[in-house]
Amino acid sequence: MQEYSKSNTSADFALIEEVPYFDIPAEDGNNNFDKADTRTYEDLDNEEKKNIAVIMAGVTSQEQRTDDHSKVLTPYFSNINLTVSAGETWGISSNDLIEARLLCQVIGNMRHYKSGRCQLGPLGTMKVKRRILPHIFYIDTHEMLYSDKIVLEQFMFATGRIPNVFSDADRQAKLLKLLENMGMGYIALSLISDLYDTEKLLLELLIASESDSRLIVCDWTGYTFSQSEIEILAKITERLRYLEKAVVITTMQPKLIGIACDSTLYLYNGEPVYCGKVTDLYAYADKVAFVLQDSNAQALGRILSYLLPGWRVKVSGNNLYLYNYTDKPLSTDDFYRLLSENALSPQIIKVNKGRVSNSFEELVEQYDLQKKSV
Amino acid sequence: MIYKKSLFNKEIRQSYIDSLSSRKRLSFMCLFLAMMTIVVYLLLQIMYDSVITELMPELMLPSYFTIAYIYNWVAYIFFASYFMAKYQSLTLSEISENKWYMLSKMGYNSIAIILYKMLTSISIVLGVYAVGFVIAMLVASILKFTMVWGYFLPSLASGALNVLIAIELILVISLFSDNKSTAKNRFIVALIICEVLKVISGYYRLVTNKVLMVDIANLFNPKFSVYPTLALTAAVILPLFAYLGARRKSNFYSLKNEVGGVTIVSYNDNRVIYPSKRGRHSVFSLPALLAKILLMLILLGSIAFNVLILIASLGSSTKEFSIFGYIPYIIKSSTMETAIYKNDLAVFKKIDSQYPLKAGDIVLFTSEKDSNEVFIMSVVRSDDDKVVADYLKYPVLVGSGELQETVNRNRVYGLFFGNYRIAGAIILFINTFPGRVLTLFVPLIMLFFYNQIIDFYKKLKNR
Repeated sequence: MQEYSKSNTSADFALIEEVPYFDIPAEDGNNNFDKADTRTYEDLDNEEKKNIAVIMAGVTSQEQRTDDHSKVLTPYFSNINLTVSAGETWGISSNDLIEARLLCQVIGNMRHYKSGRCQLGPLGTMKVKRRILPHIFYIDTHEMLYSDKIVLEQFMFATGRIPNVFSDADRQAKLLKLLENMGMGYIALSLISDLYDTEKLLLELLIASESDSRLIVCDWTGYTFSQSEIEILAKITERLRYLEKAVVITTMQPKLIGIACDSTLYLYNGEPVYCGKVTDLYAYADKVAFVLQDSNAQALGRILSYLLPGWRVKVSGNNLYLYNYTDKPLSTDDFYRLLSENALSPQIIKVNKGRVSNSFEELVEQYDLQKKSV
Repeated sequence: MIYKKSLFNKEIRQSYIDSLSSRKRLSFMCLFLAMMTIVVYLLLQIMYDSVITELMPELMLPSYFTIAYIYNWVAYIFFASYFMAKYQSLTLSEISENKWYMLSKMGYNSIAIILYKMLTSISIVLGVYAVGFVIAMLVASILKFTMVWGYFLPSLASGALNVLIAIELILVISLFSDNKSTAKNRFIVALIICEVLKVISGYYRLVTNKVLMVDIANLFNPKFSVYPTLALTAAVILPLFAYLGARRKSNFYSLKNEVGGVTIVSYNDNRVIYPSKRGRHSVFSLPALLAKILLMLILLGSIAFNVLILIASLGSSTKEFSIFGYIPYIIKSSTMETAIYKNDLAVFKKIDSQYPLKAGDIVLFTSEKDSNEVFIMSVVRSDDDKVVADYLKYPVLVGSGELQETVNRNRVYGLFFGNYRIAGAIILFINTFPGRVLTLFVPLIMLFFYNQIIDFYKKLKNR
C-alpha cells in the first residue's frame, strides 16, 4: 500500500487510497473568537505561510445595501478577519444569503472587495477576477458534470489526465472503492442526469479532492442537503482534511456546518458574530443543556426555574429548553437525580450535545442585546 | 467505454451517441436524411398536376437534381433543429456551464478541449451530410431518373456549405449566450439573416438553375450570386473567431450564483444591491405567448380549411355549395387552359338569366340532355335565348368545335370570377391521406391533448 503524500505535486497525487476517518479534533473549550486572528500574510513566519490557504484582514464588501427607512448605505459585510489553514474545513453562514454568497465569491477570487486584504495562499488575489487559478477549486454549480455519463465513468474521465502508476482497470477499482468508502457506492453506476443536484455537488467535491488545488471553495448557499448527504459530505471533508486541503463551504444549513465542518464563520447583518472552531461554538454560544417534552410544560417550567437558580427556562409549546448560564455544569446524573427527588417525570428528556442552529440563535440574541445596550 | 479518456471519444459519445445501445445513431442519421428526402419527394409528387410544378420545378420534376435539392433542404432543416435540440452538448456552451473548468483543473489542456470540440462537431456534421447525400442518390436510383453526374458535386457543395455555416454560427453564438433559449433565438435570427442574404444575392436563382448547377465553378462565381463566396469566407473566419473566443472564455470561471433576485445599480464606485421586486424570471413571456397564439391560429385555420373542403365535397352538380353567391370548383381537366388550369380552384359568381353575357366569358351551365351534368366553357356567342359555348383547349384526337354546346340561356347560372392556383394546390394536398393527417388529424390531436403533449415533452426533456 502506498502512503498518502501530503505534498502538493500532482505526481504525489493522493488518488484513491483508503482514508482513515478522524473524529472532529476536540479543542480546548476556550473561545477563540474573542481573539480572532487579525494577522496579515506578512506577519506570518515561513512555516505558517506554507500552511495558509486564505488570510483575510479587515475585508469589507464593495456591494452595499440600503436601509428601507434611513436610506443609509452599508456594506454587505465589513471587517472580516479569517484565516483558513491547510487541512481545515470552514463553514460560512449568515442570516442573509447574499452576504454569505458575496463573501464566498471574494474568497474564491470571483469578486472584488472594497477594503482590507485578502490573500489566497502564496499567490495572493488577482486583479482580474474569475480567472482560473491553479490553487483554487471553486464549485458553485452542479452542472460541471456530463449528464450522459455514469458516476464512475465521469470520475474515471475527470481523473484520466492525472499522472499515476495504476492501470485503467486498477484505477477504476480504486475509484469505485473510494466512492464506496465515501458512502456514494449506491450511485456509482447511476447516470449523472438521474442524480439529485446535491449528489452531483458531492461528486464534484470528491473529484476536486483529486485535483492539486490546495483550496476548495464551495458556494452552496442555494442548495439544501439531506441528512444522509451531509454524512457523505462529512466523510469527504474528513478525507480532504487528511489530504491537507483547505475547504470553505458557504451554506445556509447550520446542521451541515455542525456535522461536516470543523470551523465556522457566522455573519449577522454583515458583521462577524462568531469565527472559530465548531466545538468552541457550542461551549461559547449553545447554552441549552437539556430539552424536555411534556404536555404540561408550563407548570414543569415554573418548578424547574425555582429548582435551577441562574438557569433560563424557555417554554415553546410542549418543549422546555433549559439554558445553563451558571459557571457550574450540571451532569446528566445530577439532573436525573434532581428530577426524581422532586417527583418530576417529563415524558421525554433530551441531553443537548450542541447544535449549531441553537448556537447561531444565541449569538444573534447576544448581538441584539449588545446593540440595544449601546 | 469507461476506460476511454480521449476527448474525441467523449465528444462523439456526448453529442451523437447517448447510450451504448445507440452506437449506430450516426449511420441512422444518414439513412434517416436519405429516406426523408425520398418521402418528401413522393409527397410532393401528389401535387405534380398543380401550379407547384410550374412555380417550383426544382422540387417537382423527376430528376437527380430534384432529389439533391430536396436533400439539401431536408438536411439543412434537420441539422438546424438538431443543433438547437443538442445545444448543450454540441456547442461551446460547456464553458459557461464550467464543465471545462473542472476538466482544466483536472489536467486537461483547454486548447485541446476547444479544438476537439470544434473539429468533432464540424467533421461529424459534414460527414453525416455527405454520406446521407450519397445514400439519397443511391436510393433515388430505383426511381430510374436520367443520370447527370454534373449535378452531384455542385449540389453537394452548396448543401454542405449551408450546414457548415449553421454549425459554425451556433458555435459562435453559444460563446455569447447566457442560456439555451437566448442562443436558440439568436441562432434562428442568424439563419433568417442568411436566408434573406440568399434571396437578395440571387442564390436560389443559381441553385435552382439546372444548367448552371452542372459546373461547381458557377457556384462560386459572383456574377451569378455573391452568397456562396461570402459563405465560404465566413466558414473560414467563424471557426477562428470561435476558437479565439473559446480560448479567452475558458480562462475564466463562469459565475453561476450571481446574486439572484436582486438588481445591481452603480452608485459612487460601489455597487448597490436592491432586492428585485419581480425577481429575475418573469412568468409572462411575450414571444412565448405570441408563439402560442400563432400555433393556435394555425391549428384552428387548418381545421377550418378541412371543414370547408369537406362541406364543399358534399355538394353535387345539382346541389352546389356556395358561399355568399360564389361557387368554388376544383377543376379536374385541362380543357379550359390557358384561362383555368387543371387542379386550380376556380370560383364562379351566381348569375340569373337576365345577366348580359358576351363572347369570351367563361360560364357554368347544366347540359340540355342531363341537368346533373355541369359544363364550364367559354361563350362563343350569346343572344337572349341561346348561348353557344366551347372549350378553350381540345384533346389531341378531337377536332376543333366538335364538343361545342348550345344551351338555353336559363341553364347558364355561373360566371367565372377568378381562379386561385396556390389554393388549388393546397386543396389537392389536403385531399390526400398525408394531407388529411397533417392538417386535420395532427391539429385535432394537438387541440384536444395539448397539455398532455406538453407534459410528455417536458418529461422527455427532463429525462
